[in-house]
Amino acid sequence: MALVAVLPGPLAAGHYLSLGVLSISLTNALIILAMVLLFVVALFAPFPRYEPKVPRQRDPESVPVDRRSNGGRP
Amino acid sequence: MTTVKPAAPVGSAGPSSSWTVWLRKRLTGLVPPGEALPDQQPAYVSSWIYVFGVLTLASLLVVLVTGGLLALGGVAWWHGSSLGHFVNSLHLWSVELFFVFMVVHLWGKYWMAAWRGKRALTWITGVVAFIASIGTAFTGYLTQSNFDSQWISAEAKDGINSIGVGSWFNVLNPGQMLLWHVVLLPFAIGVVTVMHVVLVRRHGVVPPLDAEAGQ
Repeated sequence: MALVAVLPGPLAAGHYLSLGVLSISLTNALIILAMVLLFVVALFAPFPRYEPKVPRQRDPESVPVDRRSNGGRP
Repeated sequence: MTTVKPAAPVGSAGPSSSWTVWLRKRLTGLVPPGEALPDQQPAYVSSWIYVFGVLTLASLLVVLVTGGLLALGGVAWWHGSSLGHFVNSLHLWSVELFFVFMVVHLWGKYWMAAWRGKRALTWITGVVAFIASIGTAFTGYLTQSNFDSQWISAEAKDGINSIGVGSWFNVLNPGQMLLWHVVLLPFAIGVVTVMHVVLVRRHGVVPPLDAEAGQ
């Protein structure tokens, strides 16, 4: 007991969420929730756009014939 | 009258059997012309979900630099000095961001079925990089050289023994774990990451499910 009393903060047990056999620390649950929120925001948040000064042009002769239907990709 | 055949100029294109010619063709043919470092992307790339791959790469760069500094400074430095603590924290938090960005990148690519259009190997190299990163993180826990790493290694020993590899991969051997963490696994991640990025540039960024490539 005396040992527990002198342990620094990070070694404390922390808080856990339990549902039947499932158990997860509150910290990990909050991090996963933040990642899900970040994922949703990344899907729907508007992305800044700009118009290029020079439109993109690719020399069609530099692309092999068999790749021209796929944007020059192999 | 005899004629003298002029000597071939030095540096001219030699026979195609030369290994340098073969290697040059292989390297220059890895990605289509102009696609190695493109300055423009298809319209569908203008979404935040397409940003997380390069965010993962940026985080990995910080992880590697701070990890290199920790290796140079040594255990006493990262435990016993303010600057060592600071670099240690930078290493920890860049790893945290690395995994957050990589997982969001994984979710985004999974839900848009990013293995479409001959991109299966791109997907597979991403999976291998993810698994190797987890292994590197776990050996990083064992490399901290504190009570936490002692506890984790003792707990992990039973698990590693139970799958029969405990004598080759000994989590109670700090020197072996240090080499896995700072040499072998980072080297594997580096190689697989380069392959992953080259494949992305070779086949292009995967379009959303309702778009066509290059739109």
